[in-house]
Amino acid sequence: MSPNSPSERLIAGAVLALTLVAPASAADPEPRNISRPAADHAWRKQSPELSTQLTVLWGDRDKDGTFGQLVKMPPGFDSGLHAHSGDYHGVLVSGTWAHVDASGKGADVPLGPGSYVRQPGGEMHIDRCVSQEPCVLFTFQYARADVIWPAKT
Amino acid sequence: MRARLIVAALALGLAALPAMAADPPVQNRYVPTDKTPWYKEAPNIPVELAPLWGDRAKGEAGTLLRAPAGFQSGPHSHTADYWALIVEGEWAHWVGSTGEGRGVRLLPGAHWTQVHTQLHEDACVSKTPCVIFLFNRDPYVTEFPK
Repeated sequence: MSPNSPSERLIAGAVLALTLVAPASAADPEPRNISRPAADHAWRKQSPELSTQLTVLWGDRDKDGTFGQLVKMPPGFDSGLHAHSGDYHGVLVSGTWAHVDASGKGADVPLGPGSYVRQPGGEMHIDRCVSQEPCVLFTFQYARADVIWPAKT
Repeated sequence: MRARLIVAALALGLAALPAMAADPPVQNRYVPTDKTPWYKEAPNIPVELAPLWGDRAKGEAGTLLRAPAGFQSGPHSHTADYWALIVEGEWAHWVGSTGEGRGVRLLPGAHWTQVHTQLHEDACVSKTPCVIFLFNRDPYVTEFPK
């Protein structure tokens, strides 16, 4: 059943090309109207060893493709140096956040609600919650969620 | 034959990616609150917008919207679905035709979504200004009933 004619080959090529370039948008859920008060979010621990909690607003953080989530960091939280495979856009909702790159840039820039950070994938950085109240951060990401720790030497 | 098909498919795939290929490398970018690039959405309404990424009129974008205390949008719709979050103030968002959202208090961290072309209303019901974050995937234009 392999395509023989030029038109069959063109169609097969187009189908394959679309499969290659459009998996993320095809996986996105159909939008619908939702109204969810802040108190109704279903928070869960990010992982057993981290003190952060998260709630996914849309998409699937365990699959490649876009998703939006809220991450809650307790007061005094310091992530340590880490990276993620994919880029993210971050918008702070509450608390005071510090987002520090591997050179230390950002350590003295307190980020209040409404602040925005674009973080490229693969770049080491540190997140801190420097307020007395928890920090709630919205992130929009393009690849499955992960945490990459520096290689042990 | 199989190799030629793969080459053809890759060529088509690459041809579909000129915009991505032209995109500059992603850079770390900080916009603290006091550097938010606010501008008035239109001369006749008290709403301000601040693009964080993308161009909402053309496609995927993240945008902040600031409205004064007491703001009432009146019925309107958008050409694209959107996903939203409250950052500051207390917001109300409801769909008159279905009752969706009526009576729901939207405080910082609250989330709602709105499908395209459906008339709805928004209000800043707090005594302080409201700031909300909006995300759209498709070209986004606001339309008012004639």
